[in-house]
Amino acid sequence: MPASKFLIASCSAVLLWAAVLGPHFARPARADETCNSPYLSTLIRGKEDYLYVWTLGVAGMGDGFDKLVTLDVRPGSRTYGKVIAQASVGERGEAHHVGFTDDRRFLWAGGLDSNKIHVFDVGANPAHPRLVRTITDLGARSGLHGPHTFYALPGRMLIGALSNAADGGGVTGLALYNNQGEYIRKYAMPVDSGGDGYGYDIAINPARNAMLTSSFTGRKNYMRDLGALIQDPAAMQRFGNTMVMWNLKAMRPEKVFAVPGAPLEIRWSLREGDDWAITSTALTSKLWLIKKDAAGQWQARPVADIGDPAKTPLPVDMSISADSKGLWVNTFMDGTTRYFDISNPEAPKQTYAKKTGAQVNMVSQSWDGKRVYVSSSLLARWDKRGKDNEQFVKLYGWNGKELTELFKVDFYKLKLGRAHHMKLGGRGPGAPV
Amino acid sequence: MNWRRRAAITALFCVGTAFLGVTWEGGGGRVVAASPAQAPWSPVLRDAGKSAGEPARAPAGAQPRAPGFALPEAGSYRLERILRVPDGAVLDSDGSAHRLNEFTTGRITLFSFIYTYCSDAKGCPLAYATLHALKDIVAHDPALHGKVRLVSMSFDPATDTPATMRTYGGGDIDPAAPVPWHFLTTASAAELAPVLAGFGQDVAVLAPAGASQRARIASHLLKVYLVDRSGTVREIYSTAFLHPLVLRNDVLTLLREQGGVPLPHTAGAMAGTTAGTTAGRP
Repeated sequence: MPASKFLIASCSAVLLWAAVLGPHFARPARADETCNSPYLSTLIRGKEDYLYVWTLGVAGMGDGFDKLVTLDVRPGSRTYGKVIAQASVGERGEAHHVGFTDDRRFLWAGGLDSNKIHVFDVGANPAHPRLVRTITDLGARSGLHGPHTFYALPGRMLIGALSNAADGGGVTGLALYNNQGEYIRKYAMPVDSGGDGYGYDIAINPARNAMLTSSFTGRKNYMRDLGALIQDPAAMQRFGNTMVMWNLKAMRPEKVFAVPGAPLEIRWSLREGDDWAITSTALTSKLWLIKKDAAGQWQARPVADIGDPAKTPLPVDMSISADSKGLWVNTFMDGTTRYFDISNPEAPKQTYAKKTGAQVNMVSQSWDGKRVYVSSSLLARWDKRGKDNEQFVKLYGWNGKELTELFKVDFYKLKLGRAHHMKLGGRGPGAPV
Repeated sequence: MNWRRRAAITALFCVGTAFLGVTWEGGGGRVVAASPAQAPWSPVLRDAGKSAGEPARAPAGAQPRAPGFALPEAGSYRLERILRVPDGAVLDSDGSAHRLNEFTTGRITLFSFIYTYCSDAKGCPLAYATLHALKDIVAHDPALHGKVRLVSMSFDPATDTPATMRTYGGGDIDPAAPVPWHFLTTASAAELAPVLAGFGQDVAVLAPAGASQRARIASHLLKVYLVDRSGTVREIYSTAFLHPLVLRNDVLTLLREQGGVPLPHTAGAMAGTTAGTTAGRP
């Protein structure tokens, strides 16, 4: 057999073999979702067992502290849809986002105000995460403040911050730690070549050596009462209006895109062979596509409105489907969960919407797309007041046409606090399988 | 060609096609966009699995091209100091006892954990194929001789005894080779555990099915560690970046940082290379 035919045949055989035996190999956990770092290189595309909710403490409610809340999401379990564990960090520091380490054994959780990073062990007993370390040197070592995005790299964690320790403004950067919690390096967000220095999300396409970052606002704004902030024109000017394409290997900014109105979450297409990413702008309410043009240059351009931008629905989180043909987008102000058909990412179309709460923020879907989790809190001082200040996690079933509520956990009724970022968990790595 | 080399070549081919943007069209079975034979680094692919002692196969002056994207020029970027390599008691494939740091200092080291019965196409065979390709690249560049070593260490000391590792290593075990390759194991799981923990290497173990069986490795997250001459991890490669040309560039970057090696890498240009510390084994 000629060598080329042998290689092709062998490769095909291996891929078939891997598909058949895949579940038995290289699977450190049993459940995963679509919006994690690709360096969680063996994503489990099965059904999740637990939902971890990084929750903001509320003074006078329970212990009043930020905590990682674990929900049992195993259908048929006697504790299905119930809180089965809480791991308090003993202080209130504006809990916000979390991210797994590459081996999925630990969950890093940031405090936007405290500037601390809390590390939970979710590998030893995934049903009962345990706080094992708190990293307190981010400000002193990097000058950054407000650890937001936790993006796993092999053996280390790249952290996107929102602010800086010097003036609380939006000029910020990225900090790199190893998985042992030791600080390695800061990478400043560019302030030249059109860069505004602001930061928010991180998203990597390893196959193209491409890293995208987006931009939000600094501590002075995100810790301010939203009503007062909106009435302050000068403060409203201090939001990010850029995205940056980085050379990942060199960790160098290569191109700044003008993306007005605070581009937040970034999702690369998960489809094999695709080379595009999508983001939403919070203040201008648009979807933007980042894709190479005919000349092979990365470009960013708006491709759809989200709701009526004139009404500032405030798109916040989004979740891309595993086949990258669909995108859930939550808009905070009108409490709506929207589904966009992005089969053609050049022209996304909203095909479904449902009001899922008085206010909604984060949205996470299961790998099979059949379950959609929604949480309520944006920021402690940006959440709505009075009866609209609902705090919950809801699970919806999705049949391709309709969201059907499967359970709701009322975080205020349970005296837990404000429900923010969610991650799916599975029975874990290292356990006999 | 034994099964291990065949699997390794296959794994490298599978990854290589992804890097090259090769697509497979069904029915007629036609490879489009590129073919390994046309790829500038095809000698690397074609020769994966051959022993270093065989004649040079890469065309003279061939410069492998970056995979799927433009790699930054070697020496133009920084490799971070990620963590210190842990030390521990290890056994070489001849059964002799050593400290691990004998194999992780003094030269630039590509270190990975393996187990000899691993058959995950994106696991040990891929690492083996990639390291073998790097070995061939270095073997073809005399200026790099004596500056790089490869170390494969077993996850499973119960199965992978020194004798098993010796069989597994086969002809790659040659201390006099331009790129020596060491196949290590430990006397017991107790001696392995702190090394795994120190590297942060994840592994899951299958429970034995019966009293007569022993625990076996179920899965691991493939990581290959680039270690500088002082024993500090400078890069960790997952499957996403495990490519011989990436490794080569990073090795050259470290050499330039540590020894002032001029670039690009030609034998003549490297004639003035400053030798580093000579501590550690070849």
